[in-house]
Amino acid sequence: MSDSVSKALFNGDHGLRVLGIDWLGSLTYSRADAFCHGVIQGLKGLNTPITLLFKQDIAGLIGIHFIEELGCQKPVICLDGLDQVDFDFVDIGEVINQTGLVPVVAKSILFNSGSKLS
Amino acid sequence: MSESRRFTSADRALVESDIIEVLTLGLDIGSATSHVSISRLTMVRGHNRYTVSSTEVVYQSPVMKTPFGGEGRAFIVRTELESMIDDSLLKANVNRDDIESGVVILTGNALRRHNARQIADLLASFSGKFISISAGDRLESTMAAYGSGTVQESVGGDCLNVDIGGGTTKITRCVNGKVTELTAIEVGGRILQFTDWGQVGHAEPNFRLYTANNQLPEYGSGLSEDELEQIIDRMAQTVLGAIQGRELGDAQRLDRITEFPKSGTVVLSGGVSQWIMNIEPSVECDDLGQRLAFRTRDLLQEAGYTIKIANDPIRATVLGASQQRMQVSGNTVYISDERLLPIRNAPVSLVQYLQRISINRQLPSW
Repeated sequence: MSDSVSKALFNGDHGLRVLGIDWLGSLTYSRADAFCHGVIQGLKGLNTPITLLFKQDIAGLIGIHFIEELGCQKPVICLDGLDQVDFDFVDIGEVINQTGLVPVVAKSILFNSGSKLS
Repeated sequence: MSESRRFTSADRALVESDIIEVLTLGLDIGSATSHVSISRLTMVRGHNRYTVSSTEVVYQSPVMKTPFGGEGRAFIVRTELESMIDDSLLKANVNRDDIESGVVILTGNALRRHNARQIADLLASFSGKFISISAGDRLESTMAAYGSGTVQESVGGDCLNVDIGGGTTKITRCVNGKVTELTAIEVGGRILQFTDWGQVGHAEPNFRLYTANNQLPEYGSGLSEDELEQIIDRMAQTVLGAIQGRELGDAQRLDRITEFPKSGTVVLSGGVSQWIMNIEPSVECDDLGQRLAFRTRDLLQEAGYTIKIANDPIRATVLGASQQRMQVSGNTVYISDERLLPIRNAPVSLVQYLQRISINRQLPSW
């Protein structure tokens, strides 16, 4: 898993990258633990915060797991309830104080060929 | 972000209208050519986001040579790109301020130029509405696969997109509408250019992989027909090798892929493939493009592959970007340090965390 994370996401020529996570199945301690270990391994040696966007409402728990359970030294940003698609780029705004909400703007790149080949 | 105050709940959308129209601009800066397209998007509001329901290309600029200048062609000439954009806006009858979103993409050898970053910020005058991307090999390959129609074509089958650009060749396998594997190699139509008199002009460093003595030929020297033929053949063989999953040494830019089965279809795209379609090129061929295109096609056919050519090979690229999808996160968030925010234009890569503890390696990625 750590291999996949590092290989899939960090191609060397990019800075910060956001992982969109579609968490299928239940959230058990062991799965969360394995997941977090994998992400940390995958990001090893890269000077970048761990930035995860979850589709499911589990970001708080996972975020805490990184810090409390694994003693992760990197900054962690975990947001949830977001459905991203490939080719999305995101702006993550500052936390809105009264509500604790975080605005996220997703931008997708569009392609000019949706048609079948002749 | 003053607009954020308008949010009252997690599901509330920022804009109230149900259908909106957006003008978007795409600027593609490749190793060999650059072009601009302007499109009108119609977007429809869904639950808490807008999705594109239709796109209409308002204007496509002619394809021009990417303006490299300076010693060793080390810079991209910014003013020429700017006038290209202005010209496009004028011809499309669109005001600069009316452009709502856009993309600037730098690909291939254009990325290796010293001022690439500066160019990527070229459209800062569009007040931050633009995504500017220095596309790495992975992103480029995936883009080419979508843009060339290969992803679509692969629904119910197995296709391989071979996108031969000016500086690199991107190879992407698509099975049943999904990108499954990709790689990139050091083959391109413009890694050697000729002077007006047919002598050796500018050569990119990776050209030495294909010369007999592994040295770059001297500027102004001549190449015999035989030598040229051999160089083209080595390049085409490299493409074939990549498709067959062979180890290619220095020519390999990303890990190799598994061998593509003969039963599948190879879709050729990229500026070089334009030659095969006998499209009257808008730029004169003063490089290896034409020869490379035909040799590669022939070699792949001899190897037993079925070949298709993308509909509009050189423009198998981006239209623009939609940017009307504001979402809020807030059910359960965790941010260890709020000073990290805001973050701008961070690319998202999708990962599925499956029932079993593993990541699906088949997901498109770059």
